[in-house]
Amino acid sequence: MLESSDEALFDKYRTGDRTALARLVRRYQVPLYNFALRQVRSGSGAEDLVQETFRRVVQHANHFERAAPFKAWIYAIARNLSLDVLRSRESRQHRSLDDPDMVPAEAALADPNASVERAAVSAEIRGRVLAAIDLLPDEQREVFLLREVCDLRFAEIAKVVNESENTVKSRMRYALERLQVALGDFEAYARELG
Amino acid sequence: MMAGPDDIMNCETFEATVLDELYGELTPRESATVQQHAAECQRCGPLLRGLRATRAMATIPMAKPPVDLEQRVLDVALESAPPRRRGRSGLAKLNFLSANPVLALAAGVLLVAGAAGFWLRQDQGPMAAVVSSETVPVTSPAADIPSGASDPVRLAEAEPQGSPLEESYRTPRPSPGQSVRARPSRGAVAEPAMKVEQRDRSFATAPAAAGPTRLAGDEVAAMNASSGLPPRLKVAAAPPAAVDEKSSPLPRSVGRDTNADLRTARQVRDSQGCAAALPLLDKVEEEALGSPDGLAARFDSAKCREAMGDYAGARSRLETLTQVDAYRERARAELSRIATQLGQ
Repeated sequence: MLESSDEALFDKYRTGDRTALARLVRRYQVPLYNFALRQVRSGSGAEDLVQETFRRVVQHANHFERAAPFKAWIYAIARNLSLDVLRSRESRQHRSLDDPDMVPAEAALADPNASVERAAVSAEIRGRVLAAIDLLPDEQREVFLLREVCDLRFAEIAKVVNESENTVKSRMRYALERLQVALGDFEAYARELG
Repeated sequence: MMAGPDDIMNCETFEATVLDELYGELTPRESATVQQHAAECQRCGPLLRGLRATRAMATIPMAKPPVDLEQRVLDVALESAPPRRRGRSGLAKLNFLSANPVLALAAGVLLVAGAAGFWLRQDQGPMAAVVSSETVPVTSPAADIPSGASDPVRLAEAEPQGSPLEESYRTPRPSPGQSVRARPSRGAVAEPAMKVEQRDRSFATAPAAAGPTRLAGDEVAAMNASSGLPPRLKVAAAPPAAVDEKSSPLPRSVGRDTNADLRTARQVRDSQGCAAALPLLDKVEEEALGSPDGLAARFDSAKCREAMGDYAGARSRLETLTQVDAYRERARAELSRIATQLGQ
């Protein structure tokens, strides 16, 4: 059976079918949560952001423009909310990279089927990857996350961040180059993966 | 992306397309051209392989959200859904009209006019006279029927404890079994920026959003007096020129029919969204500076900007409106809400 498009589901919701909204929540909660998690770096903050994103989607349902894909719209909302959180945090100078909330989120990532040695390397890489992503400049990180976590195409990311596609690609390239430097120790291992 | 597979691929064009190649955004033929260049070029080959390796390594492991997040998201979203506008059933309409001779007479006149129009336009085909119900805005407050009575999505049972965030999301609706389920305590402090007070039930029914069929106050009073409607159903007068123009810091200019332009802008907002409506609202604001229409456009523009996440733009407009008596309270309320959203 063909999956309904986001836009078709949202249209159904707008005509009163709340199960359509439930399907959209199911479809988007994981990437939205992960996008938020890496942006605000807090499990509870990420949950709040997902909730608030859908609250706004519902509240502004009548303002959704069909010219833009639903996907770009919902991530634009999430992205704006995450920027508000980051700005607010900066203004309070409460930035912290070791939020205790991150522990359960990271624990959920362990692969029980991996060999001990490979799992150890994977865990180390994972930790380094996440730390390196956290250290990316905000503009590069959001583009990287929208591409890698949210699976948006570059043209869609350009709409979300309101920049040209070339600017988006440029930020992505810088992000990858920074990650390449940060993860240089594992390059040989990564080439095996690649 | 690329003009075609026959284009000469060089290092410069490779640079421009390497990310598209990396993320599979090229056509197979374009991709083959890029890969061929990478295989032959000592500079671009390692570049592509390095980016591929980095991408493979930097794959972000997806964390699993809490199992109850989906239900909580639904609860919060549906609790804050604006009331839907629904039409009356045919029988209800007939009963309503039979109890209100003035409206029944008006409906009869409209029916005759419509039939005549249909008959006169028959030469344009039978669909020419059909008007979509969506083009006829329902402006009576009685048409707002809160949704949720027959909710197909089961809402979670209420739990006694809720974080301040959930408390702020709760609406006063007392229906049992439809309250927001409290998030289990995680010992973490929720982001203050996400603590949002309950917003307007509907942007479309915001105070400044008068309907397109404005009537003068005395016309409305006469209609209500003769209709015999209960107070709840009486037609509300369009907001009078409630602006204390003497106290307005904005100059007043007289120009075209800005009220019609404002109505158009609002229709565009409701049908196509804020991004399409903003230029129209800004134009009305500019052309009708200081007039009721200009101020209403400014307020609507601020709300649209807020909805689109442009809080700075929204704030600057709202701050000027705090100096206008008719908008002071609403503008302050909006500013307060934005500040709450931003955790300030």
